[in-house]
Amino acid sequence: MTATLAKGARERSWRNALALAAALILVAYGFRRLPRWSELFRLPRTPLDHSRIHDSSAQFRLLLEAARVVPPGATVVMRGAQADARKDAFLHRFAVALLPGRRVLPAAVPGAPVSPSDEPGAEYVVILGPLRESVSGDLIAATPDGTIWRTRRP
Amino acid sequence: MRPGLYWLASLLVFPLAGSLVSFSRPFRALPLSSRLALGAGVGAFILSTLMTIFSLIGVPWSVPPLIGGAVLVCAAIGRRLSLESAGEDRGVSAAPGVYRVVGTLLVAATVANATLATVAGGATSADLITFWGPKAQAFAAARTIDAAFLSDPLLDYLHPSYPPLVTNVFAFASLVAGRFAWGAATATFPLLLAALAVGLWGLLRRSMSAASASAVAALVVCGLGLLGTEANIAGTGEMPLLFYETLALALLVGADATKPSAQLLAGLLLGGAASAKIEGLPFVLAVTGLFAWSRSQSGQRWRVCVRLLGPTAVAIGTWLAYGALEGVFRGYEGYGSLLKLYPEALPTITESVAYSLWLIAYGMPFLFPLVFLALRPRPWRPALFPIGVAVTLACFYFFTYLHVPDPAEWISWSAARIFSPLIPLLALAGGIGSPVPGRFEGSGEVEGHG
Repeated sequence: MTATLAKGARERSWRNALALAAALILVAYGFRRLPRWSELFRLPRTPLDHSRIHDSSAQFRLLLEAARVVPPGATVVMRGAQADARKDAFLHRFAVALLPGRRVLPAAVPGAPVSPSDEPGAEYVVILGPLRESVSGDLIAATPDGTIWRTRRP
Repeated sequence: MRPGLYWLASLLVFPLAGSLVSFSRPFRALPLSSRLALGAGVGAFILSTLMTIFSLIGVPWSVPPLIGGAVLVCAAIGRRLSLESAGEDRGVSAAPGVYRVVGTLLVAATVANATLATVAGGATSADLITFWGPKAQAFAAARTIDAAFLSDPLLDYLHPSYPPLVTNVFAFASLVAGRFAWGAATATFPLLLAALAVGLWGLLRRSMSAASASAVAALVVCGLGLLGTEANIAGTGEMPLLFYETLALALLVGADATKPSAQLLAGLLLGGAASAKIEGLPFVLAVTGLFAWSRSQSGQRWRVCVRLLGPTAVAIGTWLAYGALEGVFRGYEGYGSLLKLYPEALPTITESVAYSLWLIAYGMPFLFPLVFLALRPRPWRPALFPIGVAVTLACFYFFTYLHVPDPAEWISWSAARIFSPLIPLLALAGGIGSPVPGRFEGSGEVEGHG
């Protein structure tokens, strides 16, 4: 019995050491995957800056600016500078999240884009990216990520 | 910055309320850290369930009644549990052996890594922005679960039937802070990983040697930490789900698992798992069924099932009743008819799942616990319960994917996250059930086989 337990203790001992070695590899891999140290200790501008959807950081920043200039209760639509129904549907979701208290209308639902001239009665339009066409309205904010417009409603 | 700090500080309510349960007499033998972590889980679950009940009966949310209600419920549960005798003090050694020191350092490094990745914006999930956050924000503004928001036809991507714990907890913190804090919401990932780390070791130590407990805890926490940063789970329901599932499982594979108090505490944690994400419910059902079948006597099974399933039944029952009464949803969203399957998709599913898990650090968070399990010495019997849960869950997820003719894209963004409970399941199965060396040597006592 004692010999069996001693053998069991030896087996456990090397298995435990193996488990800790595996954990060490996981930790080392995790640190290797972190952003560069110079970037790590610079406060990110959005929670997405180094995530899988880091390309959405621009719309996050633009919507933070929109939250500053678009008053609560207003109707807003967000779209990309270039018509892309799939991307516009995604932008709508971001706008709902980052413009609480406003009525956020979709520029598109997947598969059915709304052309810029048909913007559905929004008081404000948030456009991601550099403008490719004229917008009917007053420019109220411009950032490197896009522009925010107050529409001229009839 | 300040609303974010208030937002995070408000989460301290959970361990304070829940400690009335986890500090009751039967759990006095557990280390302080474990009792705090367990208390945090119980407190969040009770408060979230109260928020759902308030919404169901039309009482607007307000911070003092919610906290008061949670304290009262936890005190009542703690008082009931205190009727049971204290757990046997197994003399958890404070001596820091080399395994314990190394394990603690590795776990601390993983939590630090998860914190750095989160603060740098490297672990945030798109799901936080697209539905977890907006729902919590809208609920806090409406001071209730906002049925109009969930029913808005323009917002059909919100998954209105997803269980409410995460959105309720985030809404509670937003009520305290005055607004939703996106960065603070992402910080729940490293915070819960740290809470899991401090809670798990003490639970495992009740039924394993210090060396084994350190090794298993390090394997679990380091695996989940890496998966969390690689799969970007910060700010979503994944980490709460893993926190609840892992601690409940650690209780149920432990030496105290046959005690009613431990089963009720595990039931509260399982309620948290079922309320955190839809995937929690199959986990709860698998754990309850297999535990009742394998680790309780036939005459006791229904009592065991009531303790393990009761909190889930209350929480999910309230949630489904709310959805039905408000006309928001009737049951969880599904993927068509239950038996309308596409068996021809099985090779695609197998390949896509394997590839998705491989993409998470070459599958290491999954492979290492699997190897650890494969190398375990006999007897295998104590490991059958967690292995059974793992196999049941894996089969269920394959069954779910079979409902779609071409699930490759769905698998690509979901598989790594939904298969993540296999990490603690495999590691715990690998660690429990071996004879404890040293202290119990010669007695033939078996780890985790109480």
